[in-house]
Amino acid sequence: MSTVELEGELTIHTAATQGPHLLGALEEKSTLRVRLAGVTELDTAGLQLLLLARREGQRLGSTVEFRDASAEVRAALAVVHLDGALEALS
Amino acid sequence: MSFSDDAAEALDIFITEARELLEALEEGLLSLESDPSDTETVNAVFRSAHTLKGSAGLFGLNHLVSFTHVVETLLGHVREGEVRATPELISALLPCADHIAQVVAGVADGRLSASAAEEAAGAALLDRLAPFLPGAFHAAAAPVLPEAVVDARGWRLQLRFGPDCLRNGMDPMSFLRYLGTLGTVDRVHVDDSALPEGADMDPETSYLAFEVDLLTDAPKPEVESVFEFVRDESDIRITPLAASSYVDYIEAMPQRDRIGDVLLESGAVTPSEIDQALRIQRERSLTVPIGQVLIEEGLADPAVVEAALTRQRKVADSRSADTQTIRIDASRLDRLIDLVGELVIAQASTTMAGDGLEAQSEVTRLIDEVRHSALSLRMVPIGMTLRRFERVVRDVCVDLGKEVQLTITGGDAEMDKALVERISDPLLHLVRNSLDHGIEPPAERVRCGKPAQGSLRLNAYHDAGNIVIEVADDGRGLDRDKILAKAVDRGLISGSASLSDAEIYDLIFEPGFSTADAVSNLSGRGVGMDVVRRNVAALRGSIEVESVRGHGAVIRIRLPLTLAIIDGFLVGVGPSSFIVPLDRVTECVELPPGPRGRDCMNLRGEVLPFIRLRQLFGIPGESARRQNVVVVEQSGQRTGLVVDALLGEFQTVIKPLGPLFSNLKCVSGSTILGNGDVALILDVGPLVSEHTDHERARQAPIPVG
Amino acid sequence: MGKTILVVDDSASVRQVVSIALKGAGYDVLVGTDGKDALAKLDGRRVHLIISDVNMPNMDGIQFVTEAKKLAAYKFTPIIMLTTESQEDKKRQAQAAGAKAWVTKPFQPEQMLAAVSKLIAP
Repeated sequence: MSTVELEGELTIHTAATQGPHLLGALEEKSTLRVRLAGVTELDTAGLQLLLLARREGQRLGSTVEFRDASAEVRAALAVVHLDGALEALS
Repeated sequence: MSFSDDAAEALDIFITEARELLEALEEGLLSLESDPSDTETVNAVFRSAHTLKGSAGLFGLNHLVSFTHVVETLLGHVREGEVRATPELISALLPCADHIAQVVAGVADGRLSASAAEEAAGAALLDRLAPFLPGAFHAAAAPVLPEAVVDARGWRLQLRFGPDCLRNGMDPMSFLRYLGTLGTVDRVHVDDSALPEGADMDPETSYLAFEVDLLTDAPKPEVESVFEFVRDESDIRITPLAASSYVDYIEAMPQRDRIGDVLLESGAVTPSEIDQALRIQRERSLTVPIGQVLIEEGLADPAVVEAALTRQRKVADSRSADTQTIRIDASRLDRLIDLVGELVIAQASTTMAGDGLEAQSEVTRLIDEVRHSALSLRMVPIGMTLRRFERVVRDVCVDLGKEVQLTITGGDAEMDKALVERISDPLLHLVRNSLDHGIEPPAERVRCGKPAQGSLRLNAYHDAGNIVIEVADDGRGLDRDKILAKAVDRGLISGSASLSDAEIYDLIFEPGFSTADAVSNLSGRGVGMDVVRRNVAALRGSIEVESVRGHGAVIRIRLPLTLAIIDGFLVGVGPSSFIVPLDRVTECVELPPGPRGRDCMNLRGEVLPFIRLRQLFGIPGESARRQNVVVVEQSGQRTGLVVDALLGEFQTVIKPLGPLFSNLKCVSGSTILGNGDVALILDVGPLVSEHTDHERARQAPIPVG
Repeated sequence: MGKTILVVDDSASVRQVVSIALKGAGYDVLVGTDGKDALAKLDGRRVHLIISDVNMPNMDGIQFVTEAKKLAAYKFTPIIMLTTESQEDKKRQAQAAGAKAWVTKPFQPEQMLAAVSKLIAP
């Protein structure tokens, strides 16, 4: 199992660098723990990165776990009613 | 009620009125805090709440009616002296006024019933009022009106944003968050099926689509406007969650002959969706009907389109000569009229320069035309306002168990829009009064040999630069003796006074006068005729009543056609100038020589009392050697105004006086003369009656002790 | 932590009214008196939203938007243009330059706040 820590904004302003950082951490048939405690802002660009990571993980036969979401992340996910859906978001 | 043009326009009017009433309410409450025993203010505050409730009832705004009803009831107790206007009570009432303002703002935004938050806030406020209410009073006593037709639960939004929206700084999640301010976001589905595989994904491109169920009373255009900044690049579809309500009210709609109009007016589709459908229709072929395009594109529900089609077919059969109307932004008109006003002033300065060129008379003529055409833009038929009362008559008749046929004539007579708005309230009082006190119950009518069904006529016509509005019924008529007895009882007149019929009828407009024996829940709270007269007077109009006992009464309101410009008569007193409204002036005569202190003269064998303007306004200096008298007439009574110089007719652009001067009687406004001087516009009514009162007081015997 | 909005207008009263409204709604406000002045404020600090007038001395709104969009830190920053009804062509130019949102003058503070809160959270 590996862990990737996302820090700062997860938005259109940072997506070009955060995207490869997150997706690059994926490996076949393993578990990736994505820590979101340090994420200060989440917008649609960030959301689609998280959704893509989860889907890519499934394709590779891996599990992607989102952990320790910051208050900002939770508030943003609540807008699209995904605060409970990104499983293991605890 | 359905959202026809008229109704929407009327709702606008209501909102304007409601805001004014709320201002008056708040102002009154605040001044009661410093002087709780001021009965005039108590009355004013009560009337504000009362009128607001009445108007809200017109629009079936149940939430507003039931809340305001409690406030009104409480204020009624204050008025009767049963509850004291303590600071605690005022503090409990002020937030209520704020709450009503909020609800009205909601109505302005298209929410015709209470949101859950409003309901909770309202209930909490009423709980705070409960301790002040005497006896066991329950809020449930408020009259319940039929539900509004519009009861769509909300909207389903299907949103696919343009690929570049993120790069443009437009964040879909932010729009979705904003949706939450319009109602409750019940369900969100995020569709990520368009997300490409990892390596192909451009993190700055938008791939997501959303489906959202929004529970709200907000109309579709308001929901659609959330996405106005991304509409061009995005695919936005908004369909009602409950299609059936649209079917209902398309069927109840007034006649429209184009299907697009029908759908638009019902709110089922928005203008931009129609545009989109028309574009698709053009692109594909000309033979596909627009309704079908709307269905195929998922822009409208098939059942709704079907209802609209049925409606359209019905219209084709019974096409009437619809009058073409345009809607004009009132603020633009005001601006235009302002400009014309300035123009009139500029023109006045050229004539004052004394240069008698022929071109100048041409300028004068042109300006006159411009003025007329500009004013005509403001003119609207009064019919819309009169038709508002159909509903009132119906509802009131049901409440009172009376049968009344309402006839409206002269609805196409035009008057200034601002006047129409401000006269509808006084008219509402008059209509309610006729229904309540004038027209008898069917059984009584039959006993008197009248048809069981009463008749109420609303009639409007133009008469010599004025508009006259009549409210006529064939009811009991006014009871001369009863009015007289009541007036004596109330101390309005002395028992020995001998009055003409007209003077006696006029007493019903005195504050605190009410002839109803039983206080009903309608007009009988004693709000009414005095307010009506005051409102009419504020519009520079007059009111009179004619009645034949047992056969009915006619109440006649006479108003100027506009408030913006009047024909004035310019007079000079020393260095000062004044304007007398020309329609009040009957003639001008020279002041005959006589003793200094006298205050009346002989005019063709009749005594004419006069007012020396120099004295009244305290203008220093000596009177001119030869003085003139401008004879003015008010309610049949003639009075002279003594001035130094007669300066002739003057087209007067009325500038309102600042709030500092709002208490000033006798002066209704000011205007700027061609030479830049300011002239005050005299308000003849108060001027004459004030003077008469003053004289009476002066001539009354001085009490001993 | 409040979000930062840059308000650019050559009219002091517009800057004032907009600033008061935005601060009241919990945003941090930065002001620029014209395009040039505003550009100098875009020194790399985080700005979440820009509100700009069109007609201004020194550098007008269209040029300011064009320049701002060239800066890496602000190329995705949402921009609201303050247009008037008679400036349809200016509005189109502004949109082409990257300012996708607009508020039509004259506006009430509430209209401005509504437009802002459609684009960013408080």
